Amino acid sequence: MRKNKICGILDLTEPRNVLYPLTLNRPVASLPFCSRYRLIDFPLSSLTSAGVETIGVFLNDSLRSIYDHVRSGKEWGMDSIHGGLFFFSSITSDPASGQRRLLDGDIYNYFKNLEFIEKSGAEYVAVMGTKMLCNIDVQAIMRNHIEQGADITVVYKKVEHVDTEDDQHLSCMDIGKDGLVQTLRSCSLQNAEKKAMINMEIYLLKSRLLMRLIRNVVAENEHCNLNDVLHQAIVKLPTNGFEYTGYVKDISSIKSYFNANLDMLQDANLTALLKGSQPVHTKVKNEAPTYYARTSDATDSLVANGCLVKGTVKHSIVFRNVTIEKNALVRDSVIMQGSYIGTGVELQHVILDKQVRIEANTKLIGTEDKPVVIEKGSVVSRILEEQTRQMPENRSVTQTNDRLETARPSLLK
Amino acid sequence: MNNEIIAMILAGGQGSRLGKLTRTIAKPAVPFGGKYRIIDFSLSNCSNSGIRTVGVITQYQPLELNNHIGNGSHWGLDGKTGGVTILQPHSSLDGEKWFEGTAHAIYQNISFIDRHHPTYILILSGDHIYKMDYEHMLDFHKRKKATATVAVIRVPEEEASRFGIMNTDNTDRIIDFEEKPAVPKSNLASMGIYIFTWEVLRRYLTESHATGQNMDDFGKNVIPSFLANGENVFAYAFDGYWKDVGTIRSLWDANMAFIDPEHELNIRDKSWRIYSKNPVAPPHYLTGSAKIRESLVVDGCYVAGEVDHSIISQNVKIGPESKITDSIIMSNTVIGKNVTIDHAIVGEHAVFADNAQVVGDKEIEVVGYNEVVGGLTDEEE
Repeated sequence: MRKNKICGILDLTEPRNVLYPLTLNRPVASLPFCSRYRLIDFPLSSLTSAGVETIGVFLNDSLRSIYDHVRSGKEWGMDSIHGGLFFFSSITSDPASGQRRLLDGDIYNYFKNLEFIEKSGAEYVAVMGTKMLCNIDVQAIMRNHIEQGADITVVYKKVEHVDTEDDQHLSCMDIGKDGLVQTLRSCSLQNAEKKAMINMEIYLLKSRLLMRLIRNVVAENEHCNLNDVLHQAIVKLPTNGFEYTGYVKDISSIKSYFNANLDMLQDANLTALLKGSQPVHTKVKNEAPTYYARTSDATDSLVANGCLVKGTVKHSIVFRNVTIEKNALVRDSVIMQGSYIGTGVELQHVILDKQVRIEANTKLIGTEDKPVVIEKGSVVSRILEEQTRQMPENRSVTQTNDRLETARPSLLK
Repeated sequence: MNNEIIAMILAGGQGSRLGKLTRTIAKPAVPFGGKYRIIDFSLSNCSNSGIRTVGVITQYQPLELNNHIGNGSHWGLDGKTGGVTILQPHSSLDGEKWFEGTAHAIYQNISFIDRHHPTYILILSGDHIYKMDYEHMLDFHKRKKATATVAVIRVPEEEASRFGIMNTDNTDRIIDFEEKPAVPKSNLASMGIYIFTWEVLRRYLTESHATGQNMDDFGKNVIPSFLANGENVFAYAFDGYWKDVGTIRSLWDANMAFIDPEHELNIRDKSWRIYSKNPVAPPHYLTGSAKIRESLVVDGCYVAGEVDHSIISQNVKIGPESKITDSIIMSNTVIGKNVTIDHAIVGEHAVFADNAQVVGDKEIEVVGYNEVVGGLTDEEE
């Protein structure tokens, strides 16, 4: 590949209210996934595997966890003298009053920062988000794009039927015999029984075309997002559809997030997403090996380094540095980094965010459709568990430590 | 630019008593504890002690070691100043510079050391498992106004004749040093860790070279010569965990002890992490038939069989109905169905065909790197 032929745009301005409380202090892009990853690892690895050397990361108002995770981009080989990662915040301040606000519609953020595309010298630009979890070969999109000779290539996934609840915010397309996109409409208008082609919001087009599209929208003074601009464009301009056949999950609710994690316990899914020819890179931590005690019984699970397992783990995803004490039973759950599960605890259909402490003999049982979600840093003990039952949605069960007390009221609506 | 102290790790040794495990790689590169290599302990100790300039002297089979160390970034040793430099023998106008001994290797690298203008030099061997704060040892060296400080550890009396043994006075000054004495006068053994005031060591090395005096080995020549000339040589007592894993048996013993989460080395201590090169791998996957007891497992593994009191390194696959007991399985080994491995050390990238058996006893079985065990032989086909 000629140097820097493609540059990347990572759009992290994705709505996150649907994933509260997991996204209370992090964007969707930083959601921990499958024992040791974060969602941003997937598009970042896809882009870098394709030899993309310049990537613009467009952030929303939640920056800390992204910076902390990605830093120089070293783990993805992005800390080279060629190109690199460029971060753009959509927080702006009014020059007159000095007040900070988020830009209305993120298109101005792109408009202000088009320079990074120009400077990269890349002929093409690939646009991706993080909520559409997949591991895609960007070089293959590129080859297909050149072969088809269309203006834009958009990636789609064929599904047997649309989940009207989970997929309603997505868009579906029809593709003609010539491989070109004919129509684009909201999935909520789709007949749930019928097969559909879901727009994965992954685009490849000439850099010059993208810059022209963005400048035109801004000239007309419209407030919109990059996705809206691209949706308009794929209807107006000859657009080639590229079919993605691997594992994909749209992470747009607690349920879909939970299911995506547990999906990884099926070998085919794990292999498709993580053991294929394109490795997924992530921030390296130097954890000790995981220890299984004589009292442990762990099956049908994915476990990261640094854990101490003395209890029973069934059909669960366990992140780094988790301690599971004797006689604890963890089933069908997602246990994030640094959590502690005391003796005699029983968990089923539970998501524990990072550094949660479940005191001895506490029982938390959610359902497949509504897992119990425990907010980062919470301490859950037996006495408080009794109160939970009366709370709506089984959520926010807890007595938090002092540090988090102020964060709580917003959750208890 | 001035580094108060720089470290030189002597990583050139073959470690011939490790047999198959050091046939193609140097001893410091031998895997340990599921996700480390032996040299990680010395490198991490340097990094955690605030030493930012490290020279690693290699000689025997350096490929794996060089690849492992890279630019030192895994240990945080890739800063603007200093970093890790791999030093290999080379030829020059003076002839070939093979390293004849520990001190000779330092002599051959004087120009590297001089470039950093250190006041002190820390000499380490890259083949021990331990955690040590070298800054404390340096403070001791300065406080005692020593020109040489030797780290020592008490060893069982019956083992003392395997080591260099020190006799000290009540101020910790070394008055006598004997290399592997038949009748040891004390049980204070040299750990092969030295701090020298560089100016002094440099003088001894260059002058002896000029006069043709043998100064090739720290234990045999340099320390005795320092003592004979009345230099201030002190013993710095260390009382933590320290293991030489120079034999198959000691390597196996040290690994087996390492499984225990209460192990003295406290590998989970966040304030003194042992760093290593971490390959990219997904979390380890335990199938419905996995049975793991009293064992260590790391990223990238796939376990469908039974693992009892063993260490399973990165990307190892263990098929159903296989049983691993009291063994160390190094990275990327593939184990088929119904395989039995007991009291064994299995090298990296080994392959076990279905139904294969490797059973050791008091004598630990060793399967070499890339070795294939079991399966049809040519005659059977």
